Amino acid sequence: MTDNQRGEHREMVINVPVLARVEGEGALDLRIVSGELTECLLRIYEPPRLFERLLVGREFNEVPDVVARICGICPVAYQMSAVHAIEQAFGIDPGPWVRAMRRVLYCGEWIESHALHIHLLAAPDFFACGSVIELAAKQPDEVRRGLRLQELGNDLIRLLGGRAVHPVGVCPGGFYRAPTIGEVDTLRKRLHDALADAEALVEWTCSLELPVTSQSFNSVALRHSDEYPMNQGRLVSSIGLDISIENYPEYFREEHLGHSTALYSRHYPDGAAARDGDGQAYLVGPLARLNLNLDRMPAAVRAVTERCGIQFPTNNMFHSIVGRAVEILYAIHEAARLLDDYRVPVHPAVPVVPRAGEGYGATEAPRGLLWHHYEFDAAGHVRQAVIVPPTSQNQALIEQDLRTSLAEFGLDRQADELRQFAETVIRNYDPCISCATHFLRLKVRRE
Amino acid sequence: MKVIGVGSPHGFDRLGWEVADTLRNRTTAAGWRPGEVSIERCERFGAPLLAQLRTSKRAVIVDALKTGARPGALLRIALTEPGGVPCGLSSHGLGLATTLELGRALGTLPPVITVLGIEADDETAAPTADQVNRLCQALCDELGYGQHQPGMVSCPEPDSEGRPSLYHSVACDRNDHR
Repeated sequence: MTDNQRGEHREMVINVPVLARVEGEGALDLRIVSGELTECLLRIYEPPRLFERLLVGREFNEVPDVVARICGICPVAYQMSAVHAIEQAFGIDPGPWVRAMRRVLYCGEWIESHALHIHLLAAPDFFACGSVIELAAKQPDEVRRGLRLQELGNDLIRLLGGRAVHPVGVCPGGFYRAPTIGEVDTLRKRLHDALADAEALVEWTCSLELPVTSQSFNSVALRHSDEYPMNQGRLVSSIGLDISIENYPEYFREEHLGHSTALYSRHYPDGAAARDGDGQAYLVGPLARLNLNLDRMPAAVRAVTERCGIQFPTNNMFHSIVGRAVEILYAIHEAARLLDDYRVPVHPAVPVVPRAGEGYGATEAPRGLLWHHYEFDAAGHVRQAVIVPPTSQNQALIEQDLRTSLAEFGLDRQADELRQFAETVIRNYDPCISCATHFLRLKVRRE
Repeated sequence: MKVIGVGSPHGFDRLGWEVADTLRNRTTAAGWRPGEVSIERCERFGAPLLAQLRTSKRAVIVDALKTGARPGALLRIALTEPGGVPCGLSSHGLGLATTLELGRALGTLPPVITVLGIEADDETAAPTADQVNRLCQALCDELGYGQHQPGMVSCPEPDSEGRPSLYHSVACDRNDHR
């Protein structure tokens, strides 16, 4: 690390060559010249879309188990988007029991994933801790509470998925097995008991000394007529988009950029995604969902949120951690509500007869919108698969946010401070990049 | 007393599950009394493993290991001192070492905790019956139900960065990405 200044000209290059343990690999390159951020490149070298090619030729009922392997933290989301697309293609309605239980399963994933991100990844940043282990020394009760919530989420996934990691219980048409009344009763009681933990978590995140930033961004999420969006709805945005999920390719387009093998997804509000032109960065994820759907929250959850004094919609991106806590509280309410009415069905799945066709599935993964599109032949074999994950949708906005936030933070600060703040900004989005909690190996050159 | 076999369905990482399943069927033959030893599988580090450890006074964790020792070596690590644990690992790679360090910081670990495992060679190959049996025997020894297993390594060699390499589980939480 060198630091040279010559007169008014100060050039600083922060080069992070390897972001380890992300969904794919990534890096961050910053160049600051005379107080201006001239380069800000978040490079994620996600592997090519091998999963999409791997799916081609496979039978439809293999798809949920294959796509679950795309992510170890949010496999349910991949399964949910896939089964919805498959059922649309084959004209299947799995009925209210399956729909309710899919929602319970998704609640488990939101609880597990959000609790993990809040406590193990994001919160240490706000207590000047390098890891959750250091945080545990300062906030042991809060970390214990977070682990309890995470385990509750894992157990909900296990209830319907058979196991918490890459669950295997989901099939087109429903589930391979229905839980027993006894299994459900045990979890139902735990869910009701956990409400106090979740409310305390919301209050705790609201009490954190979060950085204050205010920037304009476009939130994109599903919106349902009468429920907080999880696995169904239309696609809406804070600048007035309101389309069915089938029209997604007209308004959003993934594109390659030179500095990254990952695809960048951009929004074209005029519906011109098929043509050339500059699209816009946009936000998906819990903050986008809350910004667009607070009115779909039950009154009990809204009351807790209002009591904490943070108003949604908000332009402070760092309120994402509060959004995750609010969604944990919601997911516990929702899973408890759905399981209170639980009954064992005659069949846990409806029969599925394949036919030639195509189907779309868009659900709300913990990190945001997850869009799938499949084409099948008459025997139900995949002819084509397209999967657009949340991380690629947020990538452009992360770069835009870094430019704004670092400028507000002060580009004249030391490289270590800038690196640490940049990490915090990136982690706040909960991309899989944030899973690498100490990913910035710095090489700073100043001339 | 609790035995926790950590693993996944994949390759050598099955080792912990195989040992747990084998022991579950052999408790009578090994002379264990019902209720004396609880045998569980664990599929994920972090919160799930800490929850399983919380209720026991003594625990033995069985896992496939990657410590830099000779492939195939039987390893035993008694957790007595903190340190040597690389912090800041990602959640995807929240491994055994980090989990135990977190449990220690929260004061939720059993007073006595031991890790038994076999050093992985080919991580994609399932463990052999002989390896599972050797580890089962070592576990019986550990719990005082059998003879000590010769050749057990109690102190793995330091890792490439000179740390007293604790242990890195093999493929603890596979995340395949598109």
